[in-house]
Amino acid sequence: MADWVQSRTGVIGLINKFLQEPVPARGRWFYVFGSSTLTAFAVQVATGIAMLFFYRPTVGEAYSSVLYIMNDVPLGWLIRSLHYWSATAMVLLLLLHLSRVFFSAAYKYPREAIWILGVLLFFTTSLQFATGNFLPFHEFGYWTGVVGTYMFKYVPFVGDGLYAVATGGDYVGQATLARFFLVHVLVLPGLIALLIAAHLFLVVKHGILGWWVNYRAFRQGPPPPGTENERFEHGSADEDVPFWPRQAIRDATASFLLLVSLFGLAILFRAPVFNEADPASLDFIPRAQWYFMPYQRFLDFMPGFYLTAAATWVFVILLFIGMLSLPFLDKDVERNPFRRPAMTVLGLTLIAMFLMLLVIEVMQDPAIYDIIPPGTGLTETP
Amino acid sequence: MVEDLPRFWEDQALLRKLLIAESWEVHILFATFLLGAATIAPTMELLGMIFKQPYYERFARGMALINVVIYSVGAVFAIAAVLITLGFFPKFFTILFLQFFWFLIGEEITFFGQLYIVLIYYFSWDRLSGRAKPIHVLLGFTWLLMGLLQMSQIIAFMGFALTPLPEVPFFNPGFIPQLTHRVPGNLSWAGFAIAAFAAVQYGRYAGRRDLQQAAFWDWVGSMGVIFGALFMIFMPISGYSWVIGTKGTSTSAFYNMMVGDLAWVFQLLVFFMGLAFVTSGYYMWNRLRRAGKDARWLKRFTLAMVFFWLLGSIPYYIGPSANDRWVEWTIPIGAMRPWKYISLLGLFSFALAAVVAYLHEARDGLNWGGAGTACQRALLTTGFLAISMMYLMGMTREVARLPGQIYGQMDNDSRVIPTGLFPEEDVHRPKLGPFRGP
Repeated sequence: MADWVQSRTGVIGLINKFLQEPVPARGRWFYVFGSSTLTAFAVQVATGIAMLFFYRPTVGEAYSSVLYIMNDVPLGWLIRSLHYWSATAMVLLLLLHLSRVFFSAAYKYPREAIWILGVLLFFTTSLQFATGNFLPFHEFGYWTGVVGTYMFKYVPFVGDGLYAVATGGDYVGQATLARFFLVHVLVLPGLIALLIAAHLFLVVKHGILGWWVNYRAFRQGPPPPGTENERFEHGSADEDVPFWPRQAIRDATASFLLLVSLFGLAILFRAPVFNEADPASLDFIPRAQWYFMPYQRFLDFMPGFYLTAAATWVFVILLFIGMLSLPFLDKDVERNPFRRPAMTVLGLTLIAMFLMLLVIEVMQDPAIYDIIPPGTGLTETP
Repeated sequence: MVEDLPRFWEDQALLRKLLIAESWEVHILFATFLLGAATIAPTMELLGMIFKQPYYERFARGMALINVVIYSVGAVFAIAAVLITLGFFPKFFTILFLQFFWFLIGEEITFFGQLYIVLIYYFSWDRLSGRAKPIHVLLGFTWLLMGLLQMSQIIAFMGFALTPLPEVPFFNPGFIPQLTHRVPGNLSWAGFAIAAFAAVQYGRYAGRRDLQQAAFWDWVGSMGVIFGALFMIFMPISGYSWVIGTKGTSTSAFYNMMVGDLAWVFQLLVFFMGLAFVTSGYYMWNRLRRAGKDARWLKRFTLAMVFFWLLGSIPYYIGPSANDRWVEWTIPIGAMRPWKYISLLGLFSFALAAVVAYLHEARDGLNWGGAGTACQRALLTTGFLAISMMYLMGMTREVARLPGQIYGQMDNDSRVIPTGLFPEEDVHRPKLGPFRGP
């Protein structure tokens, strides 16, 4: 049977080759974030498909179909709660994976393309996270959708056109829900799957850089100018071991623990349902999902149209360009984070800033932003 | 004579306020510095463990020693401040004490914990070395944890006077923003203070031609300014959240600070902060230049900071008082929106860029001991500016709630405003625990 499959498809040979891929002998658990992210994505796909059997993407039925999934479908609550928690886990693991790659300078030669694909995955996953929240059409999802689509209006010159494309008209309604549904269940998952495949292909091609502790040469510092050190330049570890069995078991253990945690969270804390969206209501104060809260807080700082527009888009575009161009700006061969103080401090500062804004946003009552100060120098835009 | 005393103090309102302000401000200077040192010492020790460089170890040990030596001075000012405030404003302080009684007990426990741990930390330095070093580093971070717990309880206590909410006395709207403001604040102030002290020490040893010592203090000055400038970037961001929190619950205090009689203090604060960023940039640029490193980017970043500092320093009202708008003397470019926002965004971005560029160029070390007098003057200036900013910020925070001792709950003559938070009968017969109203 195996021979037949191998002769017809070559899959077994490929799997064997993959299992024998060399990985750094040390660092071990630092490499499991990538595979765990993949596991979270698999849970997303599986539970998402299961929900598609019952979910109805219409303004009139979306909310009631979510209620039906939660209350009447056998284990529907578990499926939806798993979908909810795996989305959070995927974003969290992606951030951890990204941080590991950043601090160990794994984006440097010859792995620039792996990093670029990772950055694209980061942004597409963020979009996936944002669009999914809108689909239940509860008040939380609806109002974040209203705020999110309105951000397109801040784009100079073409803002209104982009808003119309995003909402499918002049307001957030049925056309918007249909578009978000299409993007969330078809466009973005397909794109993410393609990016993951390309990302994995390149990881296999270039090997895992891992964590800097694997590299005696890195710990001793870069080679003197004029001398060549191929292992250093290519980021090859001091000692390699095959992926199977040790690293494979570690990855499997991490994924198993993730699944156990997801089930635990889904059982203990079910995915929230909220009230049905009421476009006429002004009582609900929209807040972003936790992942976007620091960004929301940053935007809350900005007054007036132009500054908000700049903060909304210039910040995101700069972040995107900065992340994409990182391997081309930081071309130094050094990979030890302690001997790259500039990048290490920059990374830690951005993480600290993210956490600070997140804590403030989570802990501060959103109602306090509703008070509009009367006409003073504080409020007027000259 | 004795019976005349209360009368004397009643007549000396300004003197009373000055005494209270000075005792609290000096205490805060010490306390904040000590907490900054509690963060820097174990971090430096950890880095010393990794890098195996004696400078880090010496720096960490010095910070621990400073804590042991001056801890009691900070505490003495705290006791003096409490006694003076209690003596002059007994009703106000009693109510606050009763409201936060159990939290203050917790504060005292963490205070003692901090004291004991810092003593063990310092005096076990040689014993817990070698393989036991990680335990010592852990001890250092436990000391920091105790300090942060103590600080958070004091923040809740003082924050309540400005933004009191009966439902959440501890987590009042000023609590989280002030906590996130004070943690980087500890590090920034400690960094600038250490840098200024290092400048003095450098001058001493360089004058005596003791190059080894001069090299060490030059390195300490550089580390200090990195800490100072880097963590100052966080402060206006969390500070803004605190201001917004104040706007929501204590609206007139917010207007006092931002557009009222205290607006000039905030304006001065922005001026000093911008200047501190510029001076730090100037130091880093000059230090790289003297080490023969590529300082072109530092020069550009510093010049950009000068531009944004000047932009942020332009006042909006130039009348005799911000509240006296009888003459509409305004400069549009000095308005908060959008100009001061742009100025602050520019300052943060270029300050971060300057620190990153400096760290990049200095990654293999500089010619330690080769800093010129211009660098040392810059370090002394940043130290002075940091003290000035802390004074101004403390003053703004405490004066903003006037006329009232607890915003909206107690007026300036310690008369309880009948809102239900502090029932009058409870004030006369105070009891422990949060007042829940009638």
